[in-house]
Amino acid sequence: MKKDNILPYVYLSPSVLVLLLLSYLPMPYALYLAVTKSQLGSGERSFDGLENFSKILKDPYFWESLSVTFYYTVFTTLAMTVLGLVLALLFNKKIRFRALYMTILFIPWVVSEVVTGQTWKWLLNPNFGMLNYLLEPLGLKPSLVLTAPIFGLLGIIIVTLWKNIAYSTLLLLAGLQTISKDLIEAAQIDGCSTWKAFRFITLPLLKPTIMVVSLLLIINCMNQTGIILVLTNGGPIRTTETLGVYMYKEAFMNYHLSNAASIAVVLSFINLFIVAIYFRFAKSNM
Amino acid sequence: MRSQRLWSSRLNSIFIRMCIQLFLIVLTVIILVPIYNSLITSITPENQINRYPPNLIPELVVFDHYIHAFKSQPMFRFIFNSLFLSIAASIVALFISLQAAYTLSRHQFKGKALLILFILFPMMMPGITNLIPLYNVFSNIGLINTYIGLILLYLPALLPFAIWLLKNFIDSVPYELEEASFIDGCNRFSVLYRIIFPAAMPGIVAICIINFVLVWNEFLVSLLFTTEKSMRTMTVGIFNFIGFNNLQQGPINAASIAAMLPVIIIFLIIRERFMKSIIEGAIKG
Repeated sequence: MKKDNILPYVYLSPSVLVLLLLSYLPMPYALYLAVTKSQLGSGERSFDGLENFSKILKDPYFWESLSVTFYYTVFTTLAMTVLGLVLALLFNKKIRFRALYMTILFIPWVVSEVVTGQTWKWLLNPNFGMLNYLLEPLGLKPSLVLTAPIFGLLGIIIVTLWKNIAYSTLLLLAGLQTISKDLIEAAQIDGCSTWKAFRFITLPLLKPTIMVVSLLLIINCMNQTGIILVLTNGGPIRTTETLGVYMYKEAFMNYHLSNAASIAVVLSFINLFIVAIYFRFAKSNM
Repeated sequence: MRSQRLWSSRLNSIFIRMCIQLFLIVLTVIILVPIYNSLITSITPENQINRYPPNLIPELVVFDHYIHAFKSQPMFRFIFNSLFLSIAASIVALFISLQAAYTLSRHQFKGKALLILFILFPMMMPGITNLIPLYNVFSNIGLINTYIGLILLYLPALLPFAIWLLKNFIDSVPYELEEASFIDGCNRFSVLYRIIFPAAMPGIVAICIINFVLVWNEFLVSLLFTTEKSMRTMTVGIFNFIGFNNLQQGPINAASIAAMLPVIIIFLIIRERFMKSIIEGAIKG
């Protein structure tokens, strides 16, 4: 190891500069945009106080979007963690064609959100979609998950699962592989059932990994925009309009810049809040 | 008695194994059906697409939709933009992150832990909340519709992960080699590119390819920060194609297949390195 004076800071400065300008400073600037309004005619902005925030907080659409985002995040994260755990446990065993299954499972992860949304939209086409045809014998009409409000978030949750399930599986599998197999074998020799070995040995040891994975999934879901924009564009009747989608529409379709900036600030604070809770939780568990 | 029990437990385990296989086969089918559906739509003649029941296996294979997609849209331009941006952003990200990773791995200095936190924290902060303020700034300084603007915007999503992954790789390269070269009078630059570069090559290849895939698939930034058709990337081109004409399913699916094929092929070639790097970046971070 070398001890230098100023050089390390020089070498790090490009990365720090990029992150400072493009990742850290935009947030206070969003706050600035949210508490000011542009003057007609001149490009200058004048102080507007917390007017925009109180407007946002009184906006029923905002609260609708927040609850949509909340349910979407909870259900997607739960489904992704549970299914990911099941798959990780399977892949942790010596099963035939394991590498092949893993590879196929991973393909959707390298497909872009737009293409994912487009292929699923076509698959679930109400008139000519292949899925309607395939599941017709079972009496199902799968195209409804995107068009009927009563199914709400089901469609986008399924598509999100399809795209990202490999990610949570892979990370959970990595966590599982660090757990020594001798430990579980020893417990089983002592008469521990498979379920008990999982419940009292594997699960507690896997907890840190599960926590990291769910944090990544929660943050990812809270801010999901791309897939939803392509798949449902927030519809039917706003049942899939997450905060990200609402913000996008406010900024680039309704041109309410200050409103969109306020939503961005609120969303950033929610993200920060989630990360803070996670670290509190992780610390108290150590 | 004993042999009977053994026999039944063996039967049991065969049954469980078959159930697992069945479950995984169903899952594989679910994974592949949407892609298969797009693939066959892209090679089915126009007059057979919009009909019910749909063809499960194409009766006739035509490539008209690919030709149509490339003719009706400046698809080559979109592909060029995506390709150029993916390669340029990966290279820029590599050079910046290699410097940072090497410094974090080999130097001791004040505030190192804080700087590591500073660099890794954006991994947990999705860029979407930054898009509105950045759009405001970029449109004021004329960086909309420019390659430089787009590359700058991709960087915050690429750097933290790349720095972390490369730092792990460089940590595992023994320091003695460098020490000897420093004594021989090599400077930092030549050590970095003569010793670290080859030794950390697997990590460098992995991070370049992951970054390539991330930029190739990037959507929201490219959508918002390009307004001219000539600057659009593949994903934005497809997005506008869908909005422009929902009835042209053949060409739209042809474009989708053209967009996903390169990254799937890249992934299949280096899948093991790819998966391993994702684990290292996420869990050890």
